[in-house]
Amino acid sequence: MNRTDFRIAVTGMNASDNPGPGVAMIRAIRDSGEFEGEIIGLSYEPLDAGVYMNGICDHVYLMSYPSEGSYALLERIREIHSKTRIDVLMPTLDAELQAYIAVREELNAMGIKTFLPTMDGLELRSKSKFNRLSETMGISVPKGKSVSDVSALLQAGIELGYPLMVKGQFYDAYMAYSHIEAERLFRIISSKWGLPVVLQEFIEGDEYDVVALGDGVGGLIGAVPMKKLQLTDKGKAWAGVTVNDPMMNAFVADIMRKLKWRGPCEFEIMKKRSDGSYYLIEINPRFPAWCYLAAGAGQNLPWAVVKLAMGTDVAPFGAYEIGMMYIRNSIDHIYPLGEYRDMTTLGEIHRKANDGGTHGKKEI
Amino acid sequence: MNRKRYESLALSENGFLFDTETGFTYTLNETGRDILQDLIKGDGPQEIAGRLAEIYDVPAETALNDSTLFINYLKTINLVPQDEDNGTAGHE
Repeated sequence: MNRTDFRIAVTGMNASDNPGPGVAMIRAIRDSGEFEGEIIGLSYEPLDAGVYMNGICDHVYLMSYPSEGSYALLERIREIHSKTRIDVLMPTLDAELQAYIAVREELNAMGIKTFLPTMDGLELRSKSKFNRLSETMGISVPKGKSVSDVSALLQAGIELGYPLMVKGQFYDAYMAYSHIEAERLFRIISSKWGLPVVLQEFIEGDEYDVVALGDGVGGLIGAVPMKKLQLTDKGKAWAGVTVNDPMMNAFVADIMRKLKWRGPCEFEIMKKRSDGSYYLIEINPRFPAWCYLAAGAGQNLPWAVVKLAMGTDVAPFGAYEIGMMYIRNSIDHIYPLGEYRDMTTLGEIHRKANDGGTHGKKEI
Repeated sequence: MNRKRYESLALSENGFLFDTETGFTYTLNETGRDILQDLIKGDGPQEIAGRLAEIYDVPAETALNDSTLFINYLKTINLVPQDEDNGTAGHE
């Protein structure tokens, strides 16, 4: 892995006020002190800011959208691989995971290693099935209902009581204080993210987010919990600090033991104000955009994923530094137009010699 | 009393307080910092009030009333264990 021609492809290169995790993961990999290879950024938009940042990507390729399916994805990866060989591929976005998991074997056959969740695991944490985790695995989650029509919404509202959370299948979560409000949110969310819409009991308390890496057999390779200090108007973390709540850390280890999660994830946890009990309110099946904080706090989880993908044993991380803080910032970078031109016309950028594809080479 | 709660309070000399368990931060003035420092050390309310009365040259009862108010406030925001003696025992 310390070969200079070792290449890691990373997705999620958008770096807006609601960024993808790609740039953070690349920074962590480059900070590992063990990586001397090249990074290939896989981008969905020519204007993804991570594409242009200095010191992030050595090569960049434009991708087709995940909605085009796993066949289109595989063909695009095959094409990229033939030009610029990929050793490890790290998808970072919720919407693309299913397609990547579906073609994992084909990628492996091409020599492209991954360390991804299983399809079963991915399904288990889907918002529409999330409330079952309490019954099936004994994980403390808020009561929840998936609803597909307004009469079911009314009934679920009576059962769960108000206020409650109204959530889309993939994104968006809003609090509703009444049935009228819940119905309005149901219509907005279902038109955006489809059915069903998920209703979840509202737990009053303080929210914590934990970036974690599971070994797939119940072990926790590492986990760093964070308290958000500042939010954007979309509710995304703009600043945060690592915390140390031993009870919550034990709760996280217990979740991982029960879920047997494989790969990166983020747990969203609510500590109930009235009695200090913990509830898992969401599992995101990938690292969060703030995962660079984990590396800064002593657990370089993105680099650990690379090692796991390559089949290297990774010992669980022990402690992490408490009170490490991150703050995002927003500054303008200036670039000549040339690379944007290449992204829009050729769909690729090369900042290093591009002579490492698999053209003419026999794949094993 | 459960003194474990104090282990998660990182109080700086300048009064900046970081609760490592919750992630919340606070800024205390000099008096607040001294009272909390004394509580963390294990001093009781009478000792704390006595020290305040001496430093600020106020009657002991005034110092005890003021420190009691402050300790009660720290309890309401869960920075101090609920069973911490706030100095009201024997005063009611």
